[in-house]
Amino acid sequence: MTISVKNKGELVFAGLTLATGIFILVGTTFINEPVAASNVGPRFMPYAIGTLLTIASAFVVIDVLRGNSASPEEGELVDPTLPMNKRRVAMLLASVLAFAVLLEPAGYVIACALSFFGIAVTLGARLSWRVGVASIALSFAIYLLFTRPLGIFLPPGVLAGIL
Amino acid sequence: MEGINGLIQGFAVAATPENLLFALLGVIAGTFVGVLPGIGPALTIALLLPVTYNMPPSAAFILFAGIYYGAMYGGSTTSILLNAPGESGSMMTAIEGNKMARAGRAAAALATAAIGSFVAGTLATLALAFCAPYVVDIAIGLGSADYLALMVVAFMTVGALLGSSAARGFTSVGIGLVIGIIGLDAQSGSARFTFGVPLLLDGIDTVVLIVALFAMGEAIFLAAKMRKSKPKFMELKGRATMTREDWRRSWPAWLRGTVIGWPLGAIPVGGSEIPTFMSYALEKKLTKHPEQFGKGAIEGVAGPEATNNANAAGSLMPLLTLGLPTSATAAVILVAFQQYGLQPGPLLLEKEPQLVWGLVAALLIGNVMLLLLNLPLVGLWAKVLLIPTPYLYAGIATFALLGAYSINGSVFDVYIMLIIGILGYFLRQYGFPIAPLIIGAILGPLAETQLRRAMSIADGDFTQLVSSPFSIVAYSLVILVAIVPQVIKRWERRTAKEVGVLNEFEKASTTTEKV
Repeated sequence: MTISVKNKGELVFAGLTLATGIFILVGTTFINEPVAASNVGPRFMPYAIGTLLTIASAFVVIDVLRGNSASPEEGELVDPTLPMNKRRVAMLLASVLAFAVLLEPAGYVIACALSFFGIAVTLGARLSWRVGVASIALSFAIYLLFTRPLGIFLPPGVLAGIL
Repeated sequence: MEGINGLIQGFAVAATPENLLFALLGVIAGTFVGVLPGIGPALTIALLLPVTYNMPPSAAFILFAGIYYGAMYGGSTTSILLNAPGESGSMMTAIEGNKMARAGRAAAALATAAIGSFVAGTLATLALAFCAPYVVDIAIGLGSADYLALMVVAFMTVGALLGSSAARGFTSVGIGLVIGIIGLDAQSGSARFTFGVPLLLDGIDTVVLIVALFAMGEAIFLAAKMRKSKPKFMELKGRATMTREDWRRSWPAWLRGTVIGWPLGAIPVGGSEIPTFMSYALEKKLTKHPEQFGKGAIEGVAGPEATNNANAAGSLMPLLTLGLPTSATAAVILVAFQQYGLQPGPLLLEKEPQLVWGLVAALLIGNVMLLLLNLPLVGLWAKVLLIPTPYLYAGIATFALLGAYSINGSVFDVYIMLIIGILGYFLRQYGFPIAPLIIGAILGPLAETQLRRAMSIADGDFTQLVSSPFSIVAYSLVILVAIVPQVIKRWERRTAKEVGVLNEFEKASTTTEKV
């Protein structure tokens, strides 16, 4: 039996879900069960869920080992047979992380503009003034729309005095 | 006739100028995103949830009703012009419809899809209005054990029917259930799988989960595997029209599609794949032009497309009357109800009749608007595909980040979204369906509540769970569900081979549900 590279990843993922199932079964024994627990205490569902996940994942692992790998999702824009573009994925994750880190200290407008800029460039927008203008315009528009007419709080951050 | 009175009441709610505007906004937003590759009604509604926080619930649900139907119209446009069956229910439309488009009959294919959607959507929504009060009457008499049985049916059907194999479907359900139990157990006060992180005690917010799996997962998938070439779509000049001959061949197919699609949506079994396929097979059998099937037969577009819409309307039945979502979109609508502190189920119609009937009336109004918007303007909608991809998806990701933060005003949710987004990427890459995961996460906690109630009534006697006639029927159905789809899947493959579209069919059947 030969295991192709694509199968390897699938096998690892199915193995991880199997491990999660077993982890749930083991972890459930550590859930605090009150003495006066009713018929169905806090451990019952986790045991049932852990069992389901373990059995289902085991079948997937067997299926993959037999060479039956599911075709990944096809799309108009994506070709799943391509190797993963690690640089782009890293840029995307960095843009999202930047949003999370900057949101409260720097404020929504700055965090949103930077993350939009980062994601657009990651997904292939040509670096030009247009992306920059679009990012800033969009983040201001969202901030004003959400905080004023819709009444939803977004952190103003360093622009607190101006906005 | 409770249904007619209800509908009249509903029109009174939905037909105010303000609510008509929300319905119009909904159908426009729905069609817009429905046309976009990779985004369907569930994600659109999830992304728009933050916008509606301070709206009255009736306006919000009228908006969502418009999005729901609009996204389905938009989806058929993409299927026909791009041969991209974004959701499993559009698979058959894509096969025949794109063949028609290639033969220069795009206008007729789009017209039969739009008018068929209108006819089926209207009839199916009316059927929903008439039947819902009766189903509610039955549902009120159901006990906790019966509800639990229904939920088990839902878990089984979404696990077994969606996705490329039952094992993968059940793995998805399992992951969803695991996500659902994270947090503080309300009854015992025990923390479950929170790893000592206080912010996890509240559990993982379902809106964060949905937006992460779809929007974030899709963005990461796109970053990792973007095609170098641009997608090619068939240009359409003018408007969608049909000849007299097309009408003659379409209308019986629409009606048959409605009859197949609605009941299979109204009973709580997941998926539009099987009913649309059944419709396709039936049309192929009844047609006087069997030689055209697989080469662009109009019945092959009209039937499945009507089935798909009737099925979507039917699936609102278990949601509104039993509180049971059977598709990702229904699951998001359930979450939207929960945002307003409402729990869909038999009591909802009694407590909030205005809301439920307003929603149903909005579906009918939205359907008319969609027909008027789509027939003359379908070429314009197709232009949405010309918006540069990077801007489009960066915009979607931006809204996803905004939604994740504003749901609880917590940056922690943004990190959770990032982690679940990465999970979403791997699910896509390795062919695990996403809808069962979401249904598992949402229905899991509800199932636990019902189980506890049933067990405390039964005083710990497990045999009580399978003692009522209703639950016996439900569990028998579970066993049936485990066998029948395998037979139908084999039959689908055989027919696909006969019409010589097996390769496309194989490709399409692995397309996970566009949500």
